[in-house]
Amino acid sequence: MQTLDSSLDKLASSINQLEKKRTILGDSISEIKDKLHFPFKDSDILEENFVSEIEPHSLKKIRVSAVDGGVVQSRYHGASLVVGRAAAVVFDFKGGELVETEYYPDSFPSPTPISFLNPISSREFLAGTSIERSKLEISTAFKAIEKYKPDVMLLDGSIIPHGMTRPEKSSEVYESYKELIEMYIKLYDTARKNNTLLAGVVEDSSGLRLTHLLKEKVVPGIIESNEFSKKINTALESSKDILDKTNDSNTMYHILDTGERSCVFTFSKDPKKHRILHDLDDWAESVNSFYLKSVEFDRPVRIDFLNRGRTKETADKIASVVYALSRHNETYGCPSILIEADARAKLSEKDMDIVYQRLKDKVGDVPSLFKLRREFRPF
Amino acid sequence: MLKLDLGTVISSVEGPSPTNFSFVVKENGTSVKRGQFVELDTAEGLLIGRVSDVRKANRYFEREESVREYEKKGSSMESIFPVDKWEFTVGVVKPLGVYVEGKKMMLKPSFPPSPGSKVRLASDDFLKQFLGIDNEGLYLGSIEHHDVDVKLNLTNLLQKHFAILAMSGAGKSYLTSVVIEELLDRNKEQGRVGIVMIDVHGEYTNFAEPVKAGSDKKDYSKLCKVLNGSNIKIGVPNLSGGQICRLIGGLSSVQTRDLKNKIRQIQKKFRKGGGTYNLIDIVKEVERSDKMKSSTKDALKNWIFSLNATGVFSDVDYPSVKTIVKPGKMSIIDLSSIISNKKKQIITSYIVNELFKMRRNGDIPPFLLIVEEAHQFVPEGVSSDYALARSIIETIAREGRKFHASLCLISQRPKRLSTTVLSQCNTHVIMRITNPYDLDHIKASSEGITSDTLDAISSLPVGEGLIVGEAVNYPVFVKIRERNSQSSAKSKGLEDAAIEFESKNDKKNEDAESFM
Repeated sequence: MQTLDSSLDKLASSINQLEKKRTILGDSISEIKDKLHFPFKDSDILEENFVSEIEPHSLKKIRVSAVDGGVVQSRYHGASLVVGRAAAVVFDFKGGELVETEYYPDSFPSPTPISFLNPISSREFLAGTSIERSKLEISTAFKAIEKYKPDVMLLDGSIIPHGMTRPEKSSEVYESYKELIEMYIKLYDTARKNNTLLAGVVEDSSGLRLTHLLKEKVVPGIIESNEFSKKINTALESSKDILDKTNDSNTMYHILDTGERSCVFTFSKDPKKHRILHDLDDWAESVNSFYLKSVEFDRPVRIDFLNRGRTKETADKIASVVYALSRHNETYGCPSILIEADARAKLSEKDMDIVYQRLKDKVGDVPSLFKLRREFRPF
Repeated sequence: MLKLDLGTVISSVEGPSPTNFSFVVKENGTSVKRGQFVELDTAEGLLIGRVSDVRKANRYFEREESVREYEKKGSSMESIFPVDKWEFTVGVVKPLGVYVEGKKMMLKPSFPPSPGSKVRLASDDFLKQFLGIDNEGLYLGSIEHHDVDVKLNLTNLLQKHFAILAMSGAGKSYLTSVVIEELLDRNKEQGRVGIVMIDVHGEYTNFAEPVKAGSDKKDYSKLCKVLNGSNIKIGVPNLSGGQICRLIGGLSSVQTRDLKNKIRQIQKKFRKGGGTYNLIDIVKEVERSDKMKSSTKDALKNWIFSLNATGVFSDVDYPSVKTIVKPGKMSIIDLSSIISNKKKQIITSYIVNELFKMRRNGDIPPFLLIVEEAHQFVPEGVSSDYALARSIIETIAREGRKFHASLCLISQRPKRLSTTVLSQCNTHVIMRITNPYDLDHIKASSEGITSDTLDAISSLPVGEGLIVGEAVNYPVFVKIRERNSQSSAKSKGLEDAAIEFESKNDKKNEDAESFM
């Protein structure tokens, strides 16, 4: 117990020191954030102002859609089984209130089994699962856009595949990945054709891009400019190294106030060389991001969106919609529509069990479907 | 007839089991109510059950802190989330019986229904069969939430006696009036009993009053007569020595022996043609005795004088008890003008004794004796000196069935009622009762009453009751039908009574003033 306590004490002390520095840095930037401008068009930061104030959308007359997916997986003696589903939710708002809700394809879509029959490595299995889940979500998203033509479509997570998803070309699941990329492109096309703003809300972002920009450009720029007080400069000088140990969400938590968003920045410094972006052809450079703080006691969310030209207008509109849908609970700044989509798409172990039992009914009690021993202890 | 699907049986920690199952209600606006009867097909047969509880759930309202947080700024959850899409209703059912093809009786469920089975509203015919409704029976009302009339078989209800138990104002008198109407409406071919009503407050005398012209109420005045308690006389020659001793009460064995001897002597004289006699004659006989101790004489004289002072005794009965009971008719013994409890007890005890004696001899038709405020006449734990009628009423309760002498006890204090008599009433109609002692007493003395039922009893609205016992195969809640007879004047409300009194008084004063 003493060892645990002393270890915790050490850790607590380290965390406190780091937090103190973050607070110093964050407070300093926060003090001057209204005065931070980027007059020259930058390849990374696409707006003049570092932060912008956002008004929540009135929701007088708007249709918003969101998609989420759920997946459960289980490995058996000779097969790996994944069951997934995706649900799209469509909210119609009138006069500031939610007046109608629709679902696509159903309010509780039937789970789709995805199987891997050949022996497969854990890595491949994880990648494959992620790809299949994403395919379900993305296909549901573009079908929902085609059917309902929402003003805004929100995805749970980024609007590009996750980096971990991309397998090697030699991988068994590479073909599946290619299909996924085609689906994303189809999604972007569909959104453009239907004039739907497409954005992804990343709730627990581990992104480092904006922090990196702060470290490389913004903070040095502030110090060099001599426009601000010595106090600010000293504070920044003494704390800037903390940016190496902080992610964007944490940094922006100290800088943004409720109802503020960060500037729009490019998803990647060099989209053509980015592992995922370069697969998206011409769309690669259209993927931009910003952070939004919608409630006082929660971290900002990262929003990736498809930029079709008017950067500020697009970002403001998306931010105002997400803000309006997120601001009700001061401790949980997540859009209500994504909460509903998650509830519709979620799957449990019981769902997996039902699918497994039904498969066994059709196939019989074959060795391939024997459960792994570690999950089947007799006592 | 199309059977209405209510929902689907679900699997839960507790069931389905032979004693309990739950079902999720269909989403199409179907409403399920507590107390409804449902049916479903099982491996055993057609199962019938009663909805014991109805619960609702909604995932958006499961965490109180989240609800509070979301609504803090004045928006309702409905304006933020599609909460209506997540509400579902679950009915909890207690299985009651299974109808097995080919078997005459309903069986107790011994096997659970399967998850996924469809639950339907119990069909009217099946429900009637299950509850033992008799289409030719006494029509008391309708089953809550079903379009089924509650008609109770006359023999099942009356032959083994019944009790109506409820707190003041719950509708006992109304229900009693409905029962009386049903009995008076029967024709000869259906079988009719005579009704004798011990009416403590004169609440039922309206039956004997002609209905006012233009009223839509049914006139029963030709079938009913009122016997004013103040006018009732008990013929002393019809009383045995033992009866007189019991009426006096508290006599020692010597006093009892001596008094009985005197009365025997008087009775011998009467049979030899000596004419009739009364209590004063007995006093004179006691006075004349030279074998009796003077202290005994004095005591007996005092007691007999005291008895005589009630004004109830005479040398002949009035009316003749034999004329009180007629098939399909009612005699109302109106005790409202009598204040003395002892007098009420004496009259009731004598009349009921005579009725039972005559019924046993076949001198009068089968009858139903209705005793209002029964706890006054058959109280528990009270000396027989103060409950003179208890013994005979208990006798009827025990033996009346064999002689077709039926009992209906009405009381708002079941706890104070004789346990012997209450337990012999095989059907109870229980209306609203809130007194916890009375509720406990009912639970102990009524079969088929669960804690849930007890809760329901304490919140029953006026005019609804629970029937348990012989008259029904299973306890059933009934909404009492509208009465056809006119209401009693005594059923008017307090405000109306106060207004009426002042108007009368004002009129009196005006008349007095104009006279002067």
